Amino acid sequence: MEAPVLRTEDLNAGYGKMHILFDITLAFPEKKVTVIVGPNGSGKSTLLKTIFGLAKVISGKIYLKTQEITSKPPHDIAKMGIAYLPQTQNIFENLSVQENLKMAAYTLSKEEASAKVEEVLSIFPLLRAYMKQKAGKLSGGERQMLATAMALMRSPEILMFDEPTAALSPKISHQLINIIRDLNTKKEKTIILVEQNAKLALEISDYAVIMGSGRVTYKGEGRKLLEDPELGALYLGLRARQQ
Amino acid sequence: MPLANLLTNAFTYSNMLVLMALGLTFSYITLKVPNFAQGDFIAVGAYVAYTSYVLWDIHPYLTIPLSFHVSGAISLLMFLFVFSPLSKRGFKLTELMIAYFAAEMIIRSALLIYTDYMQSSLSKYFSNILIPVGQVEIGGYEISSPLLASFILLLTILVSFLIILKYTKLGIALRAVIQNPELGRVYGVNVEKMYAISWFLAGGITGMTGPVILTFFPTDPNIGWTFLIRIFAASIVGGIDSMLGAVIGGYFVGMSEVLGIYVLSQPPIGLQPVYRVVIPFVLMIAALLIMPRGIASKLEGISFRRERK
Ligand SMILES: Nc1ncnc2c1ncn2[C@@H]1O[C@H](COP(=O)(O)OP(=O)(O)OP(=O)(O)O)[C@@H](O)[C@H]1O
Ligand SMILES: [Mg+2]
Repeated sequence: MEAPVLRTEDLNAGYGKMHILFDITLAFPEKKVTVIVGPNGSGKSTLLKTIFGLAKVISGKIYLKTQEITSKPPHDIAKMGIAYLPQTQNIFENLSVQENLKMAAYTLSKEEASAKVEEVLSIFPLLRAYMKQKAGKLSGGERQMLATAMALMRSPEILMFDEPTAALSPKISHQLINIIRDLNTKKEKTIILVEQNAKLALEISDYAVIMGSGRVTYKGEGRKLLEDPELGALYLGLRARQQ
Repeated sequence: MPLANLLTNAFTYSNMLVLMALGLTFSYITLKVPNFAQGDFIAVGAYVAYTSYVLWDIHPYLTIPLSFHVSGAISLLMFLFVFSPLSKRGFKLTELMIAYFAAEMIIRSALLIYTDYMQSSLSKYFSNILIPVGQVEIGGYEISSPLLASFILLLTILVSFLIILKYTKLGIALRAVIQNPELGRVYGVNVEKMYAISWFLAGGITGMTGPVILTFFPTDPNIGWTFLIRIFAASIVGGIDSMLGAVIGGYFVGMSEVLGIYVLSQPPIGLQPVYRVVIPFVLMIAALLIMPRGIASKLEGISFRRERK
């Protein structure tokens, strides 16, 4: 396996007094697509939040390459080369679409920002018509496009997406998954992708993590889960039918 | 009281109230805890001006920028040493409100000690003070200086706020963080720093009314406390989570109080003017019962429909 670019070591984390994640030891391979799947409430989002400094670490460590980033404030982590698309509340509802994109480029210079805006708008041309509109008035799918566009504004080495295809039509979902794959294959980004649609995501995955009740229940090659009916049935309910 | 005088009073008073309410709204929308010491920034601003006037004979309006900075700094200290440590320990609304009450008493007591000390060491009045500034002539009209000052001040603040909030990176980030602090962090905004800036501005804006109040209203260290209910009334009637609400509420409450007590003090009712504070109080209760989100929330409904055309 490639050298990990991001690693967690016996990570326990949660919110306030609530303990959600238990002993998570994971290594995310560099320039690969890691897909995280698991049932609702299994802690997938919490894992991403913890990496990004938005949840409370109880014990354990997080490393970005050789640097420890455990409990660093998120605004520092944002500057250290990780982008993150949150699952919910991922746009500023009271700002216009244009202002949202500006905010997403907060750490960039003006020139970089405007070049990037053009780039993400060419991916989501639909947003062009809404630039002056309040983001809170977008439809569910449009919001998700905006949120993804925002996450793509800075293009650091590592991109974490929490259910980017939620609320999108199957066609747009496919497009988006392809965009994410291209970020990996063409731009050599390290991708961490949480997805409900396991099948869709595992197709582009190199490495997969399955979570259950705040623990890692499987880690290994992603496509194996798709190819091996037993594994698939065991962990994902793919083709698992009542006999 | 001739009509011109009455209107002058009403407008001066309302302009001031708008600025005070803007300060309260600004601190409220960032941290979602009402700051009970907000009124004391008026007193701080007024005493900065009065001290400069007594010691160096400086015109009160020239100390407005200084009053802004001193009250802003005190507000910032409250954020750093009251809000931050308590909220980091997980304290919520109720505890924070009690802490703000304590801070209010500390600020007011400090002012009382200060004015007592100054009064005895300088042998000058430091309580119940008023600096008359008279009138200015503009195009043949005599205009009261406090009215003109309050108007220019309000206009300056509103225009600069609109520009800052709409067009600068700082302003957009402030608005973003107010709505969704966690997402602000995700995009690299130092949210605590934004809060600190907001609190500085919130204290500063309210504090700048102090020097004008000093030329308009008899002032003592308790003036902030007596104004607090009016500031809250203005913010709540207008809508405490909106800047527009502070403007609307400030005018609504200010006008109602001055014009209302004038009408009520005439025969046949003949109410004593000291009861004027009852008017904002009643308006606030009425707003909470009928329109808890304030007048501005209704207006937003209208503009929403218009944008959708
Ligand atoms: N902010 C929070 N405060 C307290 N508990 C939380 C918070 N966010 C999530 N939880 C709890 O943490 C657990 C894991 O939630 P998490 O959002 O990580 O699950 P998930 O795997 O992302 O689920 P989903 O597939 O539904 O998005 C859940 O039991 C949830 O109730
Ligand atoms: Mg989730």
